Amino acid sequence: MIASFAIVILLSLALALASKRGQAGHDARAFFVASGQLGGLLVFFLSVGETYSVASMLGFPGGVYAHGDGFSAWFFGYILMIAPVIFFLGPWIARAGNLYGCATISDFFARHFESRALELVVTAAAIIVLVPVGTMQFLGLKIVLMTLAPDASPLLLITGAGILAFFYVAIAGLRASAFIAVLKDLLMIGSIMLVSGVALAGWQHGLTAQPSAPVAPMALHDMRFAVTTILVQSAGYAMLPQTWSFLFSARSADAIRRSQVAAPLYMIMFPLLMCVATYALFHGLHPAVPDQVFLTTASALLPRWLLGIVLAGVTLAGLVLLSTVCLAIGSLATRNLVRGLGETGQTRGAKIVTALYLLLSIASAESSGHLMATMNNIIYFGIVQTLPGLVAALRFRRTPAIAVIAGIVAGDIVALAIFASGIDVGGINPGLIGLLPNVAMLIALTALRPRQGARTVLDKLGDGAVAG
Amino acid sequence: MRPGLLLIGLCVPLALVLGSILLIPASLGHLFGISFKSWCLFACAPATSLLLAACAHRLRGGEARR
Repeated sequence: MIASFAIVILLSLALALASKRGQAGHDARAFFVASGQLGGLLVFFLSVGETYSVASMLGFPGGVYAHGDGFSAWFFGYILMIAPVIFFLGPWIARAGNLYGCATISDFFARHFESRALELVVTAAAIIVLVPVGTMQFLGLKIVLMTLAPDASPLLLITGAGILAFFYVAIAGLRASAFIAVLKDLLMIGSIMLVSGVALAGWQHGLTAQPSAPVAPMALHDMRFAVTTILVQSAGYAMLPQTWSFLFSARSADAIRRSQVAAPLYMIMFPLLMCVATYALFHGLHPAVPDQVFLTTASALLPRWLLGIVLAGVTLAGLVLLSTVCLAIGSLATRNLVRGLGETGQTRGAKIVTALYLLLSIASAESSGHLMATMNNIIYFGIVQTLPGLVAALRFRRTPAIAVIAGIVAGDIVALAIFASGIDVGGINPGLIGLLPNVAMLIALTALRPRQGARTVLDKLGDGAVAG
Repeated sequence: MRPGLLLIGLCVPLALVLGSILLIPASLGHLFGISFKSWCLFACAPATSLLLAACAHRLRGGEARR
């Protein structure tokens, strides 16, 4: 099992080294966003590499195992709606990135609105959003690696995973992540098809049997939660810093669109993962914690050497997302938080930030991780507050930077206050409620202090009314 | 953005997802322990892919004409 795992990991390192060949330039933009030279296939793999991490592979079947298939509604719904949102919005973000020579979301806001204050506000929001992602990945990796080597020290195992993620970043930046994402996705979907296929072949109950717990109809509160969370999280995904990185890395708008046409087909993994969870429920498999249900089922059904390959696939799922998040946080820190670094300084600084971020995430995963788990909940309703600013940049030439800043701050305060106080808002996602004061501030301050002589992104791109 | 394409590529997939969640009863039956309601939701994925492919085709045609 360990040998087959090691072979796959060595193969991933070889891919990272191979990705250096064909690299267009050695400047910071080449390191952070592959100089916008990735074709449709690599953009697709990078896109799904960022969407489906170790959390999807372990957390989704774990949620179904613990809470039944009602859990899937909002989760599946929001991930599916990401594709149409990116299909239409992504090409505009990519074109705006080319227009201003951006490598980060903050670059765009700073250069379009010509405001250092707005750059800092967006950078702070983006970094806060990225901090818990690393902890979540290491918590998942700990479960995977403990299955591989139950007697080893968990700290040692996740430190090894952290070193590997650092190497991926240091070798070739985002280009390495894109190449490894191809291997990761082939292994990930292959592993899921294999485990679910063996489970379905060995299914010993009636095909139409239902779980022992009665299926309760969805309450109005839950419906409101599902609908508003799908809206907020699919829109919020478009504003995640690592999403902007992959959009900036695309060679053309058509490459982004083609990747999003194919992305929903990749979601075949969800019914298959659900089959694995229900197989465990029906066939008396008892994982120590619900998130282990996929690995417990794989351990029960597969030979050891094949299990090693499955574990390597899940590990790479965590490491690819970790590497793209490291690059996103590194670029934000060295381009937007600290200014005036040269091209070499930015890439060197990003490697230092990557190392610090990985250490912080490992330490957090080794402690309880509860704080990070809570922070993980606020990712989407925090970052979605930057969306009105993007819409304003695309369409409204009179919106000043101060209106965008006030909108983001007001939206985040309202959303966080609702979340932290636990006020019952009838199941409505706090991010959606936060968007109301956000947009109100944006409109009011645009009316009070309109920007003079500015042009929208669409004006600058010379096409104010075509489809994305 | 062209309203027709937004309708096909964004509104119809959203309507399909919300329809599966809100309109299909949870008690219709199960296959492999998974409710029919969930299977309907899963079927929205290939449907969305087809709708986006149609939009991409129209957009490519429009760009070629320009």
